[in-house]
Amino acid sequence: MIITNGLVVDHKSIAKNIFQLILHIPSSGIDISPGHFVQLSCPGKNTTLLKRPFSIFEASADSITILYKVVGRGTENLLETQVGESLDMILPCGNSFSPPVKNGWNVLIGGGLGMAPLHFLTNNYPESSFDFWVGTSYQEECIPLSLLSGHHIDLHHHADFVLSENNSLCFTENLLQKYQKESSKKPSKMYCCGPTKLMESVANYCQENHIPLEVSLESRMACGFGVCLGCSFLTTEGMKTVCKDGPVFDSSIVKWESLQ
Amino acid sequence: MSHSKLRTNLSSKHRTMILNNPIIPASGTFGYGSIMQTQYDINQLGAVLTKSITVNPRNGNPSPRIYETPSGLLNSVGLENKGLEWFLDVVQPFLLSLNTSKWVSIAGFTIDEFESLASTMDTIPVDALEVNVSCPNVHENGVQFCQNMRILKETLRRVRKATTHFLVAKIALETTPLSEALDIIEQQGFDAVCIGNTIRGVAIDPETRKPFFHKIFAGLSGPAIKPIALRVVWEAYTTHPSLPIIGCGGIACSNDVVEFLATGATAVEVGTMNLVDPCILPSIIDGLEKYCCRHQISLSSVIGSAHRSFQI
Repeated sequence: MIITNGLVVDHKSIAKNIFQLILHIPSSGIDISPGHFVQLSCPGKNTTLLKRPFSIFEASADSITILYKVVGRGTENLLETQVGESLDMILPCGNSFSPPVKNGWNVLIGGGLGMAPLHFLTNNYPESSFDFWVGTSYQEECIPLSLLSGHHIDLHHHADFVLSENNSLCFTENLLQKYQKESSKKPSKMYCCGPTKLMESVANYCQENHIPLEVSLESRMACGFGVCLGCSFLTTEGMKTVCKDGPVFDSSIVKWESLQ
Repeated sequence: MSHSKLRTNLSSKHRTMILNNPIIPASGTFGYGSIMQTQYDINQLGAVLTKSITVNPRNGNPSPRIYETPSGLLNSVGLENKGLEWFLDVVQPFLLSLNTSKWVSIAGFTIDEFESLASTMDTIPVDALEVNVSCPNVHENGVQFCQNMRILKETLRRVRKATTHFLVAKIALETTPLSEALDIIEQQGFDAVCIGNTIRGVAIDPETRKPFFHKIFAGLSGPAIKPIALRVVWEAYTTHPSLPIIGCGGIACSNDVVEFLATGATAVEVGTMNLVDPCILPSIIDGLEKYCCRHQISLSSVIGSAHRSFQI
């Protein structure tokens, strides 16, 4: 984990309310793997105190790409940043996904921007095959599928908006149902990132069908490196932090009721 | 610039405590030091202070635990820690390997627990115990130990009896009556007071119109509380000038430290800003060195200086 500055080299809208930000990293030799996240803040904008965590969508030797949706003050600040500006960042934070099964059937389920770390996983393992299911509430909220595609990826996008109990838009159950309906092959391994409800549904499905599953969890957090315990939750192995012990967990240890 | 310009003397009537500089991480914002040690040499700090240890392991409060406010942070972590036994097995070896002053924060939910923690800590060669009397007392309807003068007195008396370590009482900023609490801290033979802890606050989720935190109240920290912490340090120094004060509340830079020292603190704890910038403490120490150089003074001359100028 290093504390550094990232120079904005590209910043654009790629779907409705979804933006892509590419940051040049001055420090070399940073080992960034799929699942890692970055803590970002905009210096000079005093409306927020804490950095905000973002999954890494792509990484090269000297840059990272993140995707974000404007949901609050932190991302509103990010939206105002221009090419050439510098952001404060801490990276890489957290742990990473374990490698996919090389000659197996790896299924990825990404809800909303949960697709980001899963895309990074497919990028890092071009020799593996992936069945990649992406869900968004609306068609226009999905990033161009060309950004996710590859010769080793069977890509599916499902846009379905349903009003959930608390009147928020929800696609979670439908995405899993669609996958179950259309996929007959038993996966060697599954990975999931997205709304907690989606991950819990996929975890239940994997448990019933004896499929190993890794989930990348999201939580409110303050530090992002394991000292404040703001993102701790209960697992079968005791308390774990999303930011330091995770965000990637074997789903069999997650006690979903302890995640709000 | 010589580091001796930053040296600070927290010694009480009873015990000696000289720190290389006045910078101490506030408990709960620094883990047990090992994560921060991967970022910089934590031996450069005046002291290393651990997260609060309780007798038994605690899972802490349910999530959500964090809510950002303008210039601040509400937290409801609930003293999550793995308990005394784990501390002795896992943290103690690392802590004792450090070359700076080694402090442990202890938190009890009964007087017996405080006494038991102090007694156990007496057997290990740490340099100081910070006694977190801002904890809720389960035998007194959850009222903080520092808010009930009878309980505070008894707690401190028994902790003092259980250990010969340098003892710091960490009180809440809302402690009332402050002067009486400080009298008790002095009379029970404690060596210093830390002023203070987070301030209790509330957040409401506007969508559900329910309290954001399960426990309703959460602790507010960060730059938002600095003026309040300075006011309490000012009052404490005015009434109890011979009791060493460790100021804590919203410190984000070296100038904030100077403010606390000028108000009457001898050392400071930096909390929330460790979460924003894990390397904030070395940068504050660097800033203090530059400050001393620019003003051609040692930091010890700053302590209480705002009171002296006020009297003129």
